[in-house]
Amino acid sequence: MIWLRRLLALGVILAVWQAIVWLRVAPTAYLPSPAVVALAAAGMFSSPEDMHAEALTVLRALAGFALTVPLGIALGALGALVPAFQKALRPWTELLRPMPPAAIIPISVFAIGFGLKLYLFTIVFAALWPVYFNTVAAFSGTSEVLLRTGRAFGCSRPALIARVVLPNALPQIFIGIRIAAAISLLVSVVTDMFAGQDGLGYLLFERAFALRIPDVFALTLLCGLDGMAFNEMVLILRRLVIGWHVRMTAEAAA
Amino acid sequence: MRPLPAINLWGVLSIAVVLGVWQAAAWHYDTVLFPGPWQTAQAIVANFATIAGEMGNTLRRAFTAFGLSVLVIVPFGIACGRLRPLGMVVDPMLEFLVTIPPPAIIPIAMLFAGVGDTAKIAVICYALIPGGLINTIETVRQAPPMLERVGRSLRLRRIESMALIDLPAAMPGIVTGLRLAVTASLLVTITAEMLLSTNGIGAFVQRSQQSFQVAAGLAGIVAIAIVGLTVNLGLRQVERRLLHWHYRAGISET
Repeated sequence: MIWLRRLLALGVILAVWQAIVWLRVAPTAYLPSPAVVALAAAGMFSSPEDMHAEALTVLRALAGFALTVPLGIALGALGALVPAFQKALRPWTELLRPMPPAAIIPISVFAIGFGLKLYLFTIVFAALWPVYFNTVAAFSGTSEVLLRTGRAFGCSRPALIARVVLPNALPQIFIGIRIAAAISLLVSVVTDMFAGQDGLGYLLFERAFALRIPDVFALTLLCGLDGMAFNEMVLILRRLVIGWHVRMTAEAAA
Repeated sequence: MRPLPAINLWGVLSIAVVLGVWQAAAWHYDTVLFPGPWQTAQAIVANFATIAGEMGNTLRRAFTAFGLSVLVIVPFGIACGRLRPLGMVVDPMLEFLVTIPPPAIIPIAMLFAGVGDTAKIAVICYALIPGGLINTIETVRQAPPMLERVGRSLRLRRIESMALIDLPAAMPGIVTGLRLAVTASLLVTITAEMLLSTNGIGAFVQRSQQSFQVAAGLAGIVAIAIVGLTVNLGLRQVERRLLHWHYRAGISET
């Protein structure tokens, strides 16, 4: 059912797009028809250069994401369990959270140079906050009843955290993880654009300046597909880790 | 008189420690490529007029785009939430659009609108509208069904019930979505300015660092952090004013 609706929506998008092309709102050189873009996309998928860029961008985003999640959960847990730590971190979180990742890329290049290090740094810098804040909130919001039940079963403090607080917090932490996945991909693409060596972001600008416009559209759509894949990845991860919770809420809703 | 807020001692301490270590490191390396807090402060004073002017450009763009996005998000979001057939088509379209990272469409925006204000504002609107719409649509759908029945027994027309019932009922969700959107608009504006640089604080940061004036670049970054923080704090106040009835009545509980 959901796939039928998605197909329908895709059809509507393509129809509107084709209609705009036929109406000549924009010159066809700038707004290619869906068929031309599909051809460009086919070329893109069979071009080793393009697929290399795609692999680089996605793998760097994944590496940054894989680093961000445990770090964010660890810092968040520390923040919730040690109030002084959370207080000491607060001025920095307040100042750094609204900071656009793009703004710190040039200065990071000065500090740490190019390569994977740069990507890891910019991704962690931007994607850490949603995981951190959700972890702090989820840990601090553990209900008193759960804690007392755990204690009544004779849990020590570490056991209480590992077996009661963390499992209870995971559903909310996953909200942060989902946002972090989207940010990881975004920052990976933006860093490509600024570091200017390789990756999808670099390729997008290279093709745009070379006026290979169908390629630009195809690459943009590829970024969208990557975004969908990242979202799907988190949903699968979520089902693996907290499947019990997903099933429970589904039952409650039914 | 309101009581003075308690001072976050740990926060003050951590700021002092970080600034101290940073300054010591800057003295140790003693190069213009690694300015300390003191040089950064000097750069802020020296470039104050430029930074303030460029920040003005940035804020003007961010708020123009934000205003345009609100004009789309609120009425269209309520319509999609209330009119089922429209929602069926629009939902999956939005699902796909939110997965394309906003910076990835910068090259396409550049093709159509060059590097001027229009291109940047288009990119910002693209970044804000899908997320804002999804938020609004969901909130409208989750409104208690009793409200709609009350509207029907008062014989309100469709458009009247949208304006008089759905809008206020969805207000809390809309405002939360818009608060996120304001922060996002600053973020995307600065990214767009760095890539399509003509003016604005993003272009200033980019320019200073390309000409190896790292201290001036850092000054720009500090300015961004302060503006971001101020905007966030201001929004929290506005939210509290606008929605005091919601927080007081605790409607979200039922």
